[in-house]
Amino acid sequence: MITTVIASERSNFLPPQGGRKIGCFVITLALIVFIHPKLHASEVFQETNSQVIIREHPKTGKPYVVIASAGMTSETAFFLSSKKFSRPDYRLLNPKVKSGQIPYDGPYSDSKRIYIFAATLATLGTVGGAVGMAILPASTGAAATGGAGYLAAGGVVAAGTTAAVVTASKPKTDGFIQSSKSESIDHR
Amino acid sequence: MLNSKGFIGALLLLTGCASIFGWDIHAPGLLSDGFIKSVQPAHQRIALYFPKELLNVVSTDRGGRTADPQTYHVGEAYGPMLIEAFQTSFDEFIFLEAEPSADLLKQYAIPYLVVVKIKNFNNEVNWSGQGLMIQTETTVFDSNMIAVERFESSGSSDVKRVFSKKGGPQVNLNLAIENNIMAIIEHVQDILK
Repeated sequence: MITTVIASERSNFLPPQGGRKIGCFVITLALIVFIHPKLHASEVFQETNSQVIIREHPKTGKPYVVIASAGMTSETAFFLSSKKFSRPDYRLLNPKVKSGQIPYDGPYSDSKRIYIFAATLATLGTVGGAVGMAILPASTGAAATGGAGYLAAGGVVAAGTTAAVVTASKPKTDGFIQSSKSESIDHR
Repeated sequence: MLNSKGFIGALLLLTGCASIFGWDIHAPGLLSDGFIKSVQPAHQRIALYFPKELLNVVSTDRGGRTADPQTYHVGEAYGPMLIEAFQTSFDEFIFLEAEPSADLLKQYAIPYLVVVKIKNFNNEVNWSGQGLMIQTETTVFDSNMIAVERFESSGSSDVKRVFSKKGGPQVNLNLAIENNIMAIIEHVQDILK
């Protein structure tokens, strides 16, 4: 109680110079906060021209942290499709399970999608180069190899010893065969 | 001007030389409950990067001479599933959309960066069913962008009577991708222990 009274009395007796000092301090603090990049959320960092944004997972909606180039926003599309489905139930793949027995609401093709465009191209002979290729990036080859410096940098791994093999195999479950396997190429 | 014989010939070429039926296969692009339950999240800050072109990877491997044409939209499902797997498996997960560099990693105090690329996709169709296999190459970099580990992973799923079910080929593709991602996650968690 006494403290409060003293404080209020002090404020009443503050000289005009003191008020100006406080004002200057508040303005300076505000300027520091606005100017200093590290005190800002999603501020563009000049050194790497990057910023932090939050995106929602296109299928689950769960948010995750993204470091993006300057100019990108969480509204800028990254994924091609954001249709949401239920999680797949792999019991559907059991040969004993009939079609429709396990609910499935995901995308499907009933084999009636026509490939007239492909057939047209095949007739014209333009698709020849593509047939037989296992993997086709839909974009041009140039785009597919763009910015691949760090991708190729895999070869930089020092001391090419092959070890640390991790293998997780699931030989047979639910009437179908599946495997999951990983093997080191190089490691330090 | 195309005469009637030419027109019929062109029509035969269009319909006879190439099948007009085919499968356009999009996986659901979600991990199964089994994956989510089986993975223990690691207490680690980690960044993931893949070039946006990965999302465009498709395969037109029909898996056999007598099989209908099939188009597998591999990357479209692989990208979201990989991100979900890292979200589930690491406490502090960061996805890099910006080009990775040592400066960037240091700026955000990221000790490890994982870069994944799809290397191969195999499809084998026979009378009884279908086997799919996806192979990837993963490189783990430290904060100086020095590669500390590079490894190949494969995931497969071999299923009978897959085309006779609604969603069969789609879920089969999803499972092959999930098995590949499981191998990547286990490998990365192992080397960071």
